[in-house]
Amino acid sequence: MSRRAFTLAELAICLSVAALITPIVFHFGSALQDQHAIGLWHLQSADGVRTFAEELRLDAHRPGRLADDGVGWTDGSCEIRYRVTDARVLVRDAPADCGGSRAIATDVQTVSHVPGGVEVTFLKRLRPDRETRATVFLPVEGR
Amino acid sequence: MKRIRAYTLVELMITVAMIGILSGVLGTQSRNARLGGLAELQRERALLYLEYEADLVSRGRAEDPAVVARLVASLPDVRMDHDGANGVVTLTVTWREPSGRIATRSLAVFKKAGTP
Repeated sequence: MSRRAFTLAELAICLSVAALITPIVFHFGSALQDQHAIGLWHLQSADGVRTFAEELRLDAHRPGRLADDGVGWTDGSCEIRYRVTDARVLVRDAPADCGGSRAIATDVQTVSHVPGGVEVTFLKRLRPDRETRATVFLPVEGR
Repeated sequence: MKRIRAYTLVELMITVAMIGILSGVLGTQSRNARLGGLAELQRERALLYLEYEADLVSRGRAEDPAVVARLVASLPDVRMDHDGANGVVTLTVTWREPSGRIATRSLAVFKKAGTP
C-alpha cells in the first residue's frame, strides 16, 4: 500500500512561510484599521467642531464676556462654563435658564482660552503606544 | 521517469496578482477614509475662517492678524477673496485638500452701511 504524506522538509517550509507572512499580514491589517479609525475620528471631530462653534456663537451674543480663567461666559445672572470631563467629553455647564448643560463633543483632550478665541484639542488613542491629535482654533473675541 | 507534480509559473503569478489586487483595493479604501476625514476637519476650519471674515465685514471691523494666523495655521495654500458690489460682499475661501484637490467655499454678506 502506498501512502502519500508530507515530508518533514515540506512541513518545515510551510511553517517557515507562515511564520514570515503572519507578522506582515498583522502589520498590514493594523495599519488599515488605524487609517480607518483615524478617518472616522476626524469626521467625528469635525462634527464636534461644528457643534462647539454654534454653541460659542450663541453664547457670544449674551451680554457677558468671555471669562479670563478657563472657557466660559459670565454676566452676573448666567455662569456658563465649557470643560472636559474625565471621559474626555466636552460639556457645557449652565443653569437651565441659561440654556442648560449638555455634551458637545467626544474624544476631547483640552479646551482653553487663547487670545482671540478658544482652542480645542481632540485626542484619539488608537493603541496604548499610538495616539493622534488635532487642534482647532475657534475665534470668539470681538463678536 | 518519476513525475514531479508542482505549481506552474502561471498559477503562482495569478495567486500573487490576486493578493496584490486585494491589498491595493483595501489600502486605497483605508487611505481614502483617512483623507476624507481629514478633509472634513479642514473644511470646518475653512468655514470658521469664512464665518470670522463674514462677521468682520458685516460689522465693519478690521481683522486681527493674530486670529487669522491661528485660523489658517492648518489650511495649506489658503486664500481669502473679497468681491463686493452694491453693499454685498462675496467672500471666497480657497484651500488645498489632503488629496491635493483645490476646494472653495463662498458666502455673501451684507456690508455694514457707512464702511468703505
